[in-house]
Amino acid sequence: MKKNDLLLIGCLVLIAGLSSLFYFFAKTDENAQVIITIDGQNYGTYLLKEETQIDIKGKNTLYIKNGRVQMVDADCKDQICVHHKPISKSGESIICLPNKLIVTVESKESEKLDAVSE
Amino acid sequence: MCKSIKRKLTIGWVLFVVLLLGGCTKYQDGETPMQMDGFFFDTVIKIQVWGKSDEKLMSKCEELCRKYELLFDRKNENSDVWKLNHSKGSPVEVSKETAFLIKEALEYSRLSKGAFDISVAPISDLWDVKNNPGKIPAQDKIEAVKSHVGYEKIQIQDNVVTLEDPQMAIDLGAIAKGYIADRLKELLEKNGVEQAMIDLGGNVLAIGHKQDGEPFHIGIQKPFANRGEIITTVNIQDKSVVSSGTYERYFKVKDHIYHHIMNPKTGYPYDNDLLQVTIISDSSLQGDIFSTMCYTLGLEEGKKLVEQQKNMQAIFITKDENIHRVGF
Amino acid sequence: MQFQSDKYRGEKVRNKVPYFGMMTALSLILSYVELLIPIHFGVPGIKLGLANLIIVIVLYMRGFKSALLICVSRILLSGFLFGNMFAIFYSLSGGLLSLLIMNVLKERKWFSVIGISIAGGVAHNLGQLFVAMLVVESYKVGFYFPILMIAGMLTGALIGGLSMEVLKRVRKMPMIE
Repeated sequence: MKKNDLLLIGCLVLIAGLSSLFYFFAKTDENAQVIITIDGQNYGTYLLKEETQIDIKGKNTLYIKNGRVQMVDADCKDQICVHHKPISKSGESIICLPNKLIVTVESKESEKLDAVSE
Repeated sequence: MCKSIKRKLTIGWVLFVVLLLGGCTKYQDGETPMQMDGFFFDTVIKIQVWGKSDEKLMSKCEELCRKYELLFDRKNENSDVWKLNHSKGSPVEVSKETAFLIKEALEYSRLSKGAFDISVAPISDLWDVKNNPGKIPAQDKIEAVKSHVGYEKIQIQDNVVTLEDPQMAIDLGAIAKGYIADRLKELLEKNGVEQAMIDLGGNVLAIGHKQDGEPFHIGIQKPFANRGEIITTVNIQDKSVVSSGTYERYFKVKDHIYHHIMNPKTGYPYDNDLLQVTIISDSSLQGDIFSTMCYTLGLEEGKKLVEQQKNMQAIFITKDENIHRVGF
Repeated sequence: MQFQSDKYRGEKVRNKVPYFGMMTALSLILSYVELLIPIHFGVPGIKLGLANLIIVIVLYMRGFKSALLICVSRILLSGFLFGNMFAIFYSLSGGLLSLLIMNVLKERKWFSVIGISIAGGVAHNLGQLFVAMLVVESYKVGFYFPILMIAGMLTGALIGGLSMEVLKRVRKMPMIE
């Protein structure tokens, strides 16, 4: 190991540390939403605090409980999204690449509905 | 050297203009719409129009609502529906709007093989879910009213409608709001409106998109929760959103829910795996009919029906509070 | 390939085919071994990257071109064998960026094997992250940036340490050179 190696490690740790700062500041608020997009298109929005199970086109099954979102089933081969740790913080996401699916938690305190279908 | 400074200046200038224009559009976002609020068809209605300032147009909307309320309200003695329900089997000439709506309803009654039926009114009246303190009607009474139900016994020739069974009754309440929402949209579009939101007590119909170019953001009522509490949302543009569900009107006896969507075949409320069906479609009338129809069919059959339609999406909420999206 | 003298030429060419065959096979085996290790870190994209061991060793012993050849053939083969088109796409973007960065740094002679392997590990993860952003059309994936960086450093250091030990010993074996 050269001295330069340690320097490199130091720099990389610093960059990672700085960029992860926003992760710790990201907080979950009461009305945080779970947003599902497929291939860049909005598929659906759900409330993080609701307990629900969502069937996404028969390909993925998402489970929301106690403010945590978890992919419980996927039809793809790699199963990466199923092994993903449950997400809860604003900005976190679970991604299923084969199905081009992204599930993101987003805090939207000021979100305003235009109408409610009763 | 000189060239690069010039280029930088140009870039700066372009940026400045872009930011300025951005600021302008931002200003437009905040424009307050023309708004009309009213109380029709037992619900609160709200119409918002952006990009126009013509108060006459709003009063025209109000007129239109009044006109149709008069035609379809079965409790009003001057309405077409009241006349029909008191015709004792003789033919009645109705307005062309009423005739159209009945024809439309009959078509879907046939499609759903009677699961959706506007002549279910005698059963609904017997149950009177809205004011019922928790009394299940006697079986012989249910049997008696059930025999007077049947869309096949409604005859229609141009604008003349005959209810063949003198004890029959029809109720257009379940589909009138959708029809009227469509007519309101027609009226607004004819007058050059490009951005509007029509909300007839939960029948939501959008014209165009929002001022900032974003789609309208519509919440879906969470079944059995406080009003306005939502279970999910949809973004729409030029579409209608209509929900039907057991939670709208119901009473409880020993933990069993008796709601207002009646099964003409049994004489009891439908009992299936669904709590709510939301239909996103072009026409609000279609939304009304399909949300009720899909509810009566249950999750699997309802899903199939929606998949067969063009330009239709649906959200089914099952009793275990799972959300099933179809056609998205 | 550069050949120092005609005397060794025949021998070198004869060596080339088995050398590449063996190295590709080795890296494939390591890819497979990695599949057998059922560790999931909860974040996609984090794995040991055992196959990179071979890439680092070849880069040091034979140079960039040889490492590139083995890198690409390994990714294509393991992609068809154990993965899918997606897997190939991601591995390729990560693998190539990683190799490129390692080569540039190696030429500069600033770092030891470990430092270069660390840089390679980080580059590998960031390359995949970048492609993932393009594919899912969302910058949100960028949320993984810090985690993937740290993971890349750890696996890179591990691989680098291993490579160093292997290189020390392998260099004493003339038939592989």
